[in-house]
Amino acid sequence: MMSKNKLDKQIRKSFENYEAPVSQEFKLKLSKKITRFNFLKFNLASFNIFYLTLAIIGIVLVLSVSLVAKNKSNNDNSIENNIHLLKKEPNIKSLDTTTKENNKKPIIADTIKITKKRVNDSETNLSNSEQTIDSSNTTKITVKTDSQIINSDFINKNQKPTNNPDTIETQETKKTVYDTVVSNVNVTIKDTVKTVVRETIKIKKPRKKDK
Amino acid sequence: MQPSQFFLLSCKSMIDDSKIIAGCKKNKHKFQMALFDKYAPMLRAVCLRYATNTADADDLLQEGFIKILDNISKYTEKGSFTAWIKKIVVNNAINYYRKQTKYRFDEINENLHSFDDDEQSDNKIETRILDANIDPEQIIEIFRDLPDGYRMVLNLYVIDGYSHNEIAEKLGISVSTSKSQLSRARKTLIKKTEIIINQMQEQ
Repeated sequence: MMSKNKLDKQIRKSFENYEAPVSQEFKLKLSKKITRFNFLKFNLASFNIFYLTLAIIGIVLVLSVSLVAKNKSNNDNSIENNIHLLKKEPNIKSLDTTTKENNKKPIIADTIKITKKRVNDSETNLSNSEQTIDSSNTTKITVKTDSQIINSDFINKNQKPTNNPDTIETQETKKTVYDTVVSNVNVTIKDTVKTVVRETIKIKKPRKKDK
Repeated sequence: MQPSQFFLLSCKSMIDDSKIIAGCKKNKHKFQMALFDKYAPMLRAVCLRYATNTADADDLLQEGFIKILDNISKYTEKGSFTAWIKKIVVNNAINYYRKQTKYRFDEINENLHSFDDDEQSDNKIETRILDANIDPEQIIEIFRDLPDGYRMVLNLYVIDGYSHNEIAEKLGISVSTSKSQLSRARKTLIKKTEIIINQMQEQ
């Protein structure tokens, strides 16, 4: 037991003032590491560009996320509050609707389905016609529903003259539709929505008979 | 040594601990490096005792020193600063090896009965060791050859002065395991030291 203690003491003594020198290379390496450590360590006294950048990024992220969430909720509300078209212009008999269930009260939500109108001079095809308009020239024309249009601006951009060889003249008219709308949540909105519909009316001239 | 270098070194040594600590608490790089210059050799010696090789020791020193700087604000200047930084480095070394050596303690425990307990011969060797002057570097070399569990317990108990209860808590082993590890570590150390003494006598 005594010898054990002596041995322990000797080992302890041999390490008492023992120091292992550190290389210059190691010191340089550690110095760089300490610089990085100081840079990354949060301290109000040494508030650096790193934390400032992080703070800015954080604020921007929070703002953008909140804005996106707000927009999403607005969109959801607008979809929920589908607007019913109650009255249409007397000349228009029916409009294509977004849902089949609401055929009696056609829904115009954000998207209003309106038609591209093609005028046939020859025969009136009632099976395809959804809108029948009497022109001012007392010519009976049929308007055929072809596509879905989101709004009046969209209509203007997307209207292209058809390449039908039989079409000779193209006439562009403006039609104003006054719609009364009602929300889906049984709350009657008595606002009058003014929808400008631009129609391209193509009049097909009768073929000249060969002499 | 040139006079300018001597002047610089003496200036460095003149900076007392309280100034260095105050500077380190403010994250001043100059004072942090002054702390390193003053205590790194002592801390490296500690790391060499616990590590299996020089590269590991340097890693332990680097990691330990960063921990010292990270926690220096917690130092209350009541106890010895040297003891405080040494404790951080030792704890870091323990944590480093604890992850790797936990299973090795079990392996060693299984082989407990393979040792021959020849106490008389051991005592003779111990007296020889006591008479011989062995360098600490030679002891470190012997330490490195020891299994991790032996080395840790030997370091903690014999050199750093921890009790078996503390060692058991730190290493996550039982007190009896700590005791048996120390006993076998001593025997292995004595045998390896004897070989070194024989080599020295032959030379």
